[in-house]
Amino acid sequence: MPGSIHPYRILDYFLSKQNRRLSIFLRNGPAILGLVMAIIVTFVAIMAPLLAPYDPLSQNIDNMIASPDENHLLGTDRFGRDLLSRLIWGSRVSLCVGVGAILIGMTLGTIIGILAGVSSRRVGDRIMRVVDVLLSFPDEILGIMFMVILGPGLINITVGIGLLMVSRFARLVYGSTLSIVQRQYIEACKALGGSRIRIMIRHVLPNLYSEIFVIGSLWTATAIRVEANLSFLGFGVAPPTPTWGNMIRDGVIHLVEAPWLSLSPGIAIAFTVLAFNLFADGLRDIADPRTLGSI
Amino acid sequence: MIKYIAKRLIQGIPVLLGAATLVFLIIRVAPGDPAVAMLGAYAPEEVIQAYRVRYGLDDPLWEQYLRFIGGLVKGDLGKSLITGMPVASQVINVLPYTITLTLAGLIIGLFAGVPLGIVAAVKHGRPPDTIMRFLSLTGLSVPSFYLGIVLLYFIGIRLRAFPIVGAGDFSQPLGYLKHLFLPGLTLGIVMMAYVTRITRASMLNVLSDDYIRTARSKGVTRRTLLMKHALRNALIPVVSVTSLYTIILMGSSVMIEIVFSRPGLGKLLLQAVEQRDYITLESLIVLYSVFAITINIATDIFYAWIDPSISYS
Amino acid sequence: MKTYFRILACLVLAFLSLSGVQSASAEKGNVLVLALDARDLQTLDPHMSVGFMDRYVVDMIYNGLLRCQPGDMKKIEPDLAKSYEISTDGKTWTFHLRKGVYFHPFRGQPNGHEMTSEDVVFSLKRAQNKETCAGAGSMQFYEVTAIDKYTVQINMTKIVPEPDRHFINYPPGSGFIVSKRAVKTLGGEFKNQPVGTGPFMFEKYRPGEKLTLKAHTKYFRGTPKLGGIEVRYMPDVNSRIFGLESGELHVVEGVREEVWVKRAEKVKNAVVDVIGPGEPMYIFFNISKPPLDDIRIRQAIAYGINRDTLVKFLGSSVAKSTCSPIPPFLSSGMTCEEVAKLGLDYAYNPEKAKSLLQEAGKQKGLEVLMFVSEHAAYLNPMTNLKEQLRNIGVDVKFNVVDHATWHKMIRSDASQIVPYSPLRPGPDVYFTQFYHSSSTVVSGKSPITNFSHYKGIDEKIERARSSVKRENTIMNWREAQIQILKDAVSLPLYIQDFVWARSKSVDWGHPLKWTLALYPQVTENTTIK
Repeated sequence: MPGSIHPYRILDYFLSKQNRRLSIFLRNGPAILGLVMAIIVTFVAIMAPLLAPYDPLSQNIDNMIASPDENHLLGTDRFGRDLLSRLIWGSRVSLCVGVGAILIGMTLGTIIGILAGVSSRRVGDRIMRVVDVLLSFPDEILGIMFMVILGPGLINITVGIGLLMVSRFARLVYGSTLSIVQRQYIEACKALGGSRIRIMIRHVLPNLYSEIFVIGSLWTATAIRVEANLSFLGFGVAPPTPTWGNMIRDGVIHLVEAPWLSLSPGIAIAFTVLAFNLFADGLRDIADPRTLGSI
Repeated sequence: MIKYIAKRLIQGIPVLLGAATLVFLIIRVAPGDPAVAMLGAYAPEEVIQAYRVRYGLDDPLWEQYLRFIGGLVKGDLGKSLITGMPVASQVINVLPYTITLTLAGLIIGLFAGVPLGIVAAVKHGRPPDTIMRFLSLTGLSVPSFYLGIVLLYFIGIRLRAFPIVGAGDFSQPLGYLKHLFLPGLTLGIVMMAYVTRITRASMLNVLSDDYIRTARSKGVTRRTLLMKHALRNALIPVVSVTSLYTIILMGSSVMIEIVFSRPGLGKLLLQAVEQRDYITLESLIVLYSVFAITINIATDIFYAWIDPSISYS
Repeated sequence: MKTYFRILACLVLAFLSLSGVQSASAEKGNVLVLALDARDLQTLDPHMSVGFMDRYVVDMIYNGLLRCQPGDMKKIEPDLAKSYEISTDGKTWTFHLRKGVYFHPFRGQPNGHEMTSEDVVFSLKRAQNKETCAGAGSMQFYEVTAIDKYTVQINMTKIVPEPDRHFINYPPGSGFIVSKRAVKTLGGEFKNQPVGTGPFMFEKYRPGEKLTLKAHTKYFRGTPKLGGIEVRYMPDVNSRIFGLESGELHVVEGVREEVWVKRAEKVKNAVVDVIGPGEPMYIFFNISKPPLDDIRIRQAIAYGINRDTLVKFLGSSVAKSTCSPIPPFLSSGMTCEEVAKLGLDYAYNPEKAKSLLQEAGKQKGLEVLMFVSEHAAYLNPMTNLKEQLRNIGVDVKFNVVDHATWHKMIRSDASQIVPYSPLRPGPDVYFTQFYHSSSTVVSGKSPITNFSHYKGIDEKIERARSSVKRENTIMNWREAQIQILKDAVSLPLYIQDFVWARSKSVDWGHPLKWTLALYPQVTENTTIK
């Protein structure tokens, strides 16, 4: 409310810029919730071998499609495999692919974006045109195309989704680089004969860190969701290795007699994606206002 | 105006060509050998070679490329590996189903999402806003196919309220709408999540603008304010992202078509993948990019229509 | 704003009130609606149709010179031929064709045309040509000539046991009779526009959705009681059961697993038909390339598989173990006890499997490639098999493709191990198609389905064929099977029955004993009450 002075704001006045940001973040309920949720999922993924009560691959024909009971908290699937264990191990795939794809996309995309940004207008335009063409495809379609070429496997799906992310990051970084490059001190550098790479690393890149980090965490949620989509369709990590997407796919046939087979992995996906969305939203609130607008 | 439309259409052609070229390069060049990718490394060399010859993969690259582009221009999308029937005719058969599905999602998303976004913006900071924000964020976090399965289970299986498989027939419109309900609702909810967020953000932006405050201080009633001034300005960013969201919807429709066993482009696409028919796959992917580019051009034209100053830039 | 929401709410409520799945049964003019577990047909050319989904339909559209009595594959009776004589030396068969048998209408022949010896000779020659017939390799034993308009003579150039079983209406490449004029007129379109003499004729085809057949009023056994058949391609398991429940579907193809049978039995007004003799499932090893060229590795894999687990997985009410290359319900087939006495049943023995692998130098593990059809009848049991083999250190890499593509892939020799569940009318057909060197995929003289590239029993097969005395034939067949098992070329796993469910109002029109056609068979006598 204009005119009133909130007690927190007095405190902020005394804190440094970084600490002020932290305190705003820590007051953001949903963002903290997101962070906690993400930490839970990461913990489960790392501790999977210890947490999972059974081997996710071992089949037990004597106990197929069992309802949840004390031995199997979430029941078993068509092959008698424990659902809870598969759910736990599935988190590894989602996180590895999600984070891995973002790292790939972030690295390659930033390089391309900065290069295009510091180059001459024409060259930059040309590069961006290719990027834009890639961006014009819906994610799932492009993802299918990449996966058809690359074939199944954990590395391949990570690379495939990473490639999807490259053009997004490239576009983002290009735009920001352009606005940075127009600042006068960059002109001064150029006039003084500074090499392009030097400009990139010393002047452009540091200004981009926070933006890339915020958007990166937001797009991690997207990457995890895309992996679920693709593995539901049958791409990526091949069965019998459990992924949340292929578990849903296997469970649909038994939706009438055992709905939990499909419903539980979906909750896991939603939980994880929501975690990153909340967290990233909170980050965006404390970052520079310039990054607002991309959703 | 006509000039602008023509200009945009002409500008679209190199983009289309670029997209088609990119797809061609990725599929034929990148993996090294689509024949090996299709048949697997274990197949005997004579079989692999026969496949290459049959699909003209043996010819020099530029010849293949010209054949590909030539085919697209003529509207020839290749022949199905299994039935031998032209893909173009199959596409025309199923296109109405995909279009109606996407439209249903779009309409539900806009008609429900915009008012909800406005309400959230107006009640900013209070419970309705928080609930709306949380719901829309959840809507973005839940994968669309899973949402479809949830609706399929609770409404289609438990309540038996709506059919869950197939699309019905156009000749029986009521039945068709019933088959469209659950899949359309799924896409609609996904769209709603996006639209609510952008409407709310945009509305908040506009509401805090100086001239709104000035008008308020002058005593103009709230409703007039909303309807006349704020809304019109707030909706412009919504329109611009609608084209982006429609493309997202097209991608999600592939998943929804599978979940509800509806005929459509998505099903054709996956069939081409399962049959390892890379040549048909190429054509279908290019088709999707045609739609995306068309939507972009249409949005630009729409923009120019509501704000004529754009067409002069 | 409030009015807006009110209007919206009213519209939504109005729409919802229209909800409710139709429970009216599909009374579309006495048309039987049949849902298949397949995405689409592959070909309706009877000489080329190998996929199960096509075999059902081809059975409704075509006849042969002879046929198995519907529902009873043990009895062979005349079909298009009204009678036949065999010469004393057994080498000449003379078939007398029925008069007044009409082919279905097609382009240029709006009233069809009468079947004559010209069509029979054309069809039987077509069946011998590997370009036009998938099973041509097993039809290389005769020459056919027309004596007059309604008489056809077949001269056996080689002796073949049970030759009458080759002239029945059973794919692939058998005695199906097609119209010479239709094949020549339609050319490449023939596979999607079949023209036969059977009780039902092609009407319309919507790819990936449905195929409509209508009654052939001029059918020589009488006008069919049904007005037509609508074949729906519905690979989604849930939708088939719901369709049966709601009455929209009259007959649905089931999943050949007890789990499905139990679920279908709960459907009111529906009956589940579990029919034999079932299809035996084998896995064939490609012995021509490493690592499966080493017999120890093949034996290790055999010892590493527990048939009982597979049978339990499928359900003992629909499956049972089998240990011999020829299924026990055919002559010379052996039961598991008999094979066990010979020590060739490869009973589950993981320790032996691991030690064999060690001997072969693969104690660290081994990778093999298997092309699998996405169809549940293959994918499910193979997923269990894969897990079983993982426990002995063999990693089976799956390449999952849709069913029609899978048929192509395995015939292109792309898979190291091939799971296949064939039902064939007699032992000679099994031996010829799967174990004779001329039937080797891709490289054989007339390739059919010898996925193993086996050449070890060609002599025995030919001796069995040329034996005049039946006991000698059977003895040779026994020896051939023993050799196959000793060489570990293929591993018999289980026999799986066919599972179908129908509305109580459907009457097949014949008793269901053992069907060769893989489904209960829709004939001119089938009715819906």
